Amino acid sequence: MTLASRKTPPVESLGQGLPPPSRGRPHNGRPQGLPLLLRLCALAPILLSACAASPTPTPTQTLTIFAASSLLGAFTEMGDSFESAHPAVSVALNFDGSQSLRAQIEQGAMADVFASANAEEIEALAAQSLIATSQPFAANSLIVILPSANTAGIQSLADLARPGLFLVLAANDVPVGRYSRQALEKLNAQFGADYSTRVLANLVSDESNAKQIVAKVQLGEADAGIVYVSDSVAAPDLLTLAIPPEYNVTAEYPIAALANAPHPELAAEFIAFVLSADGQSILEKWGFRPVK
Amino acid sequence: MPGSVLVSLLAVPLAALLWRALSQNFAAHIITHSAFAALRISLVTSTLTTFFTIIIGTPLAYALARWPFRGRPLIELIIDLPIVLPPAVAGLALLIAFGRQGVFGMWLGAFGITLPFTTTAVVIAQTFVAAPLYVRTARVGFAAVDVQLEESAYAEGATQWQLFRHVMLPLTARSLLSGAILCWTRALGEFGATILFAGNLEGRTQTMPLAIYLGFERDLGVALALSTLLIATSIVLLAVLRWLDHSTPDQ
Amino acid sequence: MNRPFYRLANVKQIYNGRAVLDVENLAVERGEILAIVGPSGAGKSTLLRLLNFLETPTEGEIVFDGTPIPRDPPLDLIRRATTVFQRPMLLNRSVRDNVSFGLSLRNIAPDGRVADVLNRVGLAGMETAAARELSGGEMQRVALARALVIRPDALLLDEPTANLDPYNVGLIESIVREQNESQGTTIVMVTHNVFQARRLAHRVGLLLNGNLIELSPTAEFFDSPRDPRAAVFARGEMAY
Repeated sequence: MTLASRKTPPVESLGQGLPPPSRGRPHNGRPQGLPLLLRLCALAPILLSACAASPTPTPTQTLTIFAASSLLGAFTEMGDSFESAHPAVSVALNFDGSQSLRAQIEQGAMADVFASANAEEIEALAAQSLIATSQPFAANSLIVILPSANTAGIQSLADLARPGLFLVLAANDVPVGRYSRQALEKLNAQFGADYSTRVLANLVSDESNAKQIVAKVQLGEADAGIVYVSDSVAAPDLLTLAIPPEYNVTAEYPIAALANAPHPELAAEFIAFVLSADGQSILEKWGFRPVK
Repeated sequence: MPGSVLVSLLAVPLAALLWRALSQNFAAHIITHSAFAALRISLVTSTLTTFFTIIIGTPLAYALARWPFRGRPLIELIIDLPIVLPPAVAGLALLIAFGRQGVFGMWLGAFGITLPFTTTAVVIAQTFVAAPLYVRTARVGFAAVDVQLEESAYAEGATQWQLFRHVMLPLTARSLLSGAILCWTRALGEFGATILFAGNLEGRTQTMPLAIYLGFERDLGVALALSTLLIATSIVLLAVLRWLDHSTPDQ
Repeated sequence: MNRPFYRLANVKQIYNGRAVLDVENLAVERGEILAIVGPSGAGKSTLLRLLNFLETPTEGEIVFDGTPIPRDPPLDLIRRATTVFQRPMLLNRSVRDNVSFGLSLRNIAPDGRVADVLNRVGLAGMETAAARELSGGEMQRVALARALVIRPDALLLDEPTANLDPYNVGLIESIVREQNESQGTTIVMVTHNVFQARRLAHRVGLLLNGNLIELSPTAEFFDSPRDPRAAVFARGEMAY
């Protein structure tokens, strides 16, 4: 789980109420344990914000976004853009597998927006009235990644069936893993009925998410892996093999405001921003396709 | 009493997990194919890990306890390090060293030996994190034996093996067994280094902790059943350790 | 005249740059009882450890019954000498198991040897007693029995009676004397009790700061020592 919060509003607002640290030590000169400690605590966020170039006004609201791991790059940038457009808002991002995020929301985690990598999690939350409406905001498709050295000499999708290769996929229970197997099945039409069986015979590990696949291919431990296009964009050192659209599987990413969002208006604004031309171009930059 | 807060923090989640697992048809989940495969891989690998650790770790622990050789502090540091390192660091280090593109792994590859994604890799990952617990415990056990007892046996004409077999082993059996149990328990619970170095494939490298982690995304029932099994095993092993600590010492 | 059992030539034992033992020349005659006396830290125990192959000298040579002791002495050489330490080192088993320990190491069937040796140390019929539950004197006699049962050519005694009551001291001294007289065992004993040396030994040596400053037949050592420091020691007047 990645909890990325680029600003620290609660601590900062705490710092405001205290005397500025430049006043220094009290004139009686006696060291005072607790007040000194408090002042040091107050000092920390001020020093941190001093490092940032522009003296932005202090945010007062924190918008919490739960987003699928594959959105890490895109939504980090999205959050930055949103923050610069809304100076009084701080965006806190929680990245994890969509299933884990759904489980966290079901267990009562407070969030404003949930951007999922598949429809099932959103539907499940809708069935529990934790979500009212949702809409697709991006599409992601699959791509084969190879280590930059490509020591196995893989030149085409047909090569993936060559015995002795080390192939890593996401587990069948993870959406990207399920989609990968579906794409391999579709490719049987081009490479023969046993293509997917032969490819899967090379499977050496069922990874829990796409990031693990990228890491193992980057290290050269695996000869090939199948991930989302967005994952390969985030790892430009990898070689890729495209999967033709007719055999590919497209994952539609839905986004929704949560029924009990602490900041419903901001949540709606954020979703609108994601769907806007600006938002869509950020997604495109990170390898997602816009939705029609 | 504030202590009760901490005790509750430790006890409540485990009790909740057990309650949930047992109320969700524990038996049906534990006999699933994946649960069985994970159980088998876990038992085989952790037992092999413990076996190799005892064979290699016992003389090492003895040397560390008895012989003041040069570089001993360095070796002790190397042995203690995996105990405090995050297992993910261990896994990454193993990949960098023994991976197919690793420093040592490339050399092994020249002989047609590939370690990552194999059951052997599971044993290596487990040994990396679990063996230090055995070596430490055994070293303390050996160090506690009166040196003169050994010298006396040597003076009576014992060979190194006889010395170990007839003097050291009876006196340190308790420590060695404790160490072996600690090692075995740690190997059984190993997750971070295994998933990085050995990957996760049912029937080959998927141990119980890996199946539990993936079961989180798949079938919570299997994860709960395997967790219950691990908790039960751990309780039994801890009870044995306690009993070893409390029964009258030999020396 | 027989050749000496032990011969030490220019033996130095150095710990951390400090010579704890520096013996130019020492011959232990076959079949004699040699007592080494001296204050604590004089190097007495180190000498015994060298004689029992527990240490190798930093410099010099030790000849054992005509064989120079190599750095890594062979087992059959090691098995010809044994030591009884100040603290009895017993296994947590029965008296019989303890006494037969050295025999089992050598794959020798105990037969009557255990009962025989227990009889000699005054512990007849104690075979099944738990060795560690005996009195201090009895434990030390079990330790002595363990040493005698393997019929060593050289018996090394490191302050064997230092912790014992006069009754057990007397008993052990008579066992040691009897062993020497009946078996001809070469015995080197270390003690800081000069009176024990006078009672038991044929010859007495005085170690001071690692140096053997006096080595004479017992009567001579006590009546007309050459070194004035030995004279002080012989009268039991040296404070240590």
